[in-house]
Amino acid sequence: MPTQKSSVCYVYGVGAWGLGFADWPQLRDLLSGAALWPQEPVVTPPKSEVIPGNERRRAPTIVKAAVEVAGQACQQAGMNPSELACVFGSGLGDTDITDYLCAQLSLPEKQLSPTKFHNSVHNAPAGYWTISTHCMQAANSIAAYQHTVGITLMEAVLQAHQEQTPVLLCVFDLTARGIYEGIYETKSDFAAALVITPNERDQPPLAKLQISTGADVVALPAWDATFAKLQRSNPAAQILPLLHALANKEKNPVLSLSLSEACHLKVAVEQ
Amino acid sequence: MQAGRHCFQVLPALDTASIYSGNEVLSSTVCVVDYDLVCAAGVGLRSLRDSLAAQRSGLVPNRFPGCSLPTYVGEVSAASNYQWPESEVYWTSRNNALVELALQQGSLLDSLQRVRQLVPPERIGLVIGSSTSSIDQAEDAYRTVREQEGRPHDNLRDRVLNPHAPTIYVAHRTGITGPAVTLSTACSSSAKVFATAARWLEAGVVDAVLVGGSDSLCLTVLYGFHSLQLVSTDICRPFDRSRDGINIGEAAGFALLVRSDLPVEHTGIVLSGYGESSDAHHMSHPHPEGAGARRAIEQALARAKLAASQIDYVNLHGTASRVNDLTEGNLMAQLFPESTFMSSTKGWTGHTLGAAGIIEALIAIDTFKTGLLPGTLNLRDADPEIALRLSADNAQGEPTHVMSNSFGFGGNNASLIFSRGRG
Repeated sequence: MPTQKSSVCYVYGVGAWGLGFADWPQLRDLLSGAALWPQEPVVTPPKSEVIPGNERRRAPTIVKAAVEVAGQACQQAGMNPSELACVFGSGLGDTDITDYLCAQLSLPEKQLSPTKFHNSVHNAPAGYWTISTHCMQAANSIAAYQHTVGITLMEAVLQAHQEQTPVLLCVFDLTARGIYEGIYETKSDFAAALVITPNERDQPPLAKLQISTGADVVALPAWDATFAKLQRSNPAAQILPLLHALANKEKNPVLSLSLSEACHLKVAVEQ
Repeated sequence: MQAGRHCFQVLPALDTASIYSGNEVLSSTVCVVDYDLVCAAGVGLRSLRDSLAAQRSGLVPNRFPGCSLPTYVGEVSAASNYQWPESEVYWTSRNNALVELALQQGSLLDSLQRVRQLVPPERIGLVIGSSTSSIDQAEDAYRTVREQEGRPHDNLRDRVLNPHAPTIYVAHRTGITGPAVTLSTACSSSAKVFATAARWLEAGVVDAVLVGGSDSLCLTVLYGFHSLQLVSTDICRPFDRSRDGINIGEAAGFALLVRSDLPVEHTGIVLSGYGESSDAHHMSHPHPEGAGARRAIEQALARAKLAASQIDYVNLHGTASRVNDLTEGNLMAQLFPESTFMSSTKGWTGHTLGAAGIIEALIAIDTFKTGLLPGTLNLRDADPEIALRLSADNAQGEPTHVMSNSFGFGGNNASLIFSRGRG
């Protein structure tokens, strides 16, 4: 019985958005220490210019966050979004819109906005993205609670290889709202995206990732308390150690991302 | 397509190697070890088979608590009556009850045990589709808050009030500890589970995958689809001239998949193709020419190395919405010869949303076992705008290849092909 199989992919684009950073260069500077955290970090509303104006107005924040980072990653990669398969992941989904739906349903009239209802599907971000970019490739929408990043990355890499296609992966979780405030620690927004390819392209990649699965957990180096807290409390922010490695051009770090309580994805980074 | 179609010619058992010769994607075949389900038309496969054969719909006039909408629903009353054992009360939710009921059906848990003799729990994956997860519990919590006038609720169950809830429950219930994911792409969710499982098996990440899906009736979907004016006040009539909307149903189903190199007895049914695509059109309207659906179907056929004419039965998405059936019907008439037997089975089960993919895949593969091809129940008067000719009546056949299609909000499409291979 095989115990581990590995797969390689090449990172060509990164996008990021959250509390204190509106794009990857800003987050990269914070992660590398080139910039310091502001006293009162703010969230800049995600531009998400890819979504046409009239649709953008009605798009939920989580949709705009996902689309914003997806757009950034594609732009850096210099790749046409309509050619990328996509794998979107969120640990909590849109608690804002769930809060709206459940609050409305607790009233006698039970009237729901049809737009909000169709925006409440977990794959609304992927839907808005593929609609706005005219992308007819396969799109997936994943939920795996605190294992979302590991699963999303694994699924993206396997799909890239087996379908021989570039893949956009995107992870996002926003501050928990409504009753979810009392259930989840997630108190700030975070979204990140990577564009990966199964083979090297003409231009050099930002990094090469080799993934494999198993039970070993790689110990995390101690790092900035702000990031540690974000990573702990926001499922999508589990990607931070990988972004940290990219930002600091660490020499061949090996990271792990959980796939379940018992197994992990080992990610070896070469850059 | 006449009713009472003659028996297909008996074909020799398909050599699975020939499906894959020259196919670079799958180097080993994905085999179905076992499968079962619960839905409004049957708690368990045997019960569903009776309903299909008798053309007895599981749809009933809506009496769902808290919902006064005049419509028909596909309710699994066992889910309403499900009593959680005291030690399991943490997991209470209608969705989890459906999951539990489905897992208990037939030989599913026994088959899982057989696989467990060969595969440790961390080498078994879980890929489950759902759109509602356990939102009924969130609905309850909000009602409680309102009734208690703002006093906080005590429903703090993070592993239930979470889009990943059904999969967390299955892991807890079965002891499976391998990679686990919930796919949530609306109505294509539990069809896509087969594609993801195939990828994981092909990569050797796991040696077995329990795929499935579960979605429950809840106020969110009843009032939500109503707000989109997609719900019929009548029993749903897929492809009918007078169709005017969907009926919402609930269901849960599972299939246990392995690669052919695992020495475990299986059904002889293989996943021979799958296709996934996006419409890139609109969040709640399908592409008017079915361009995304076409793409998914063609991808599945290409992967299976089959021509459309080789498909013996297609389970259509066929929701009974005005626009889906028009688009899908015209597309399928273009892609398939008139001789292909197709049907929507939502007249039996309702539209089970995130569970539709798995339920209808299982209905499609069960035709290998029963030789019964279900008709399009409740169809009375064919819509002349739809080129596809369908039969309300069941037919008999000996299918070798079957297809099941699911198209979800956000324009998310999935097409699956299963074949009868070596036993």
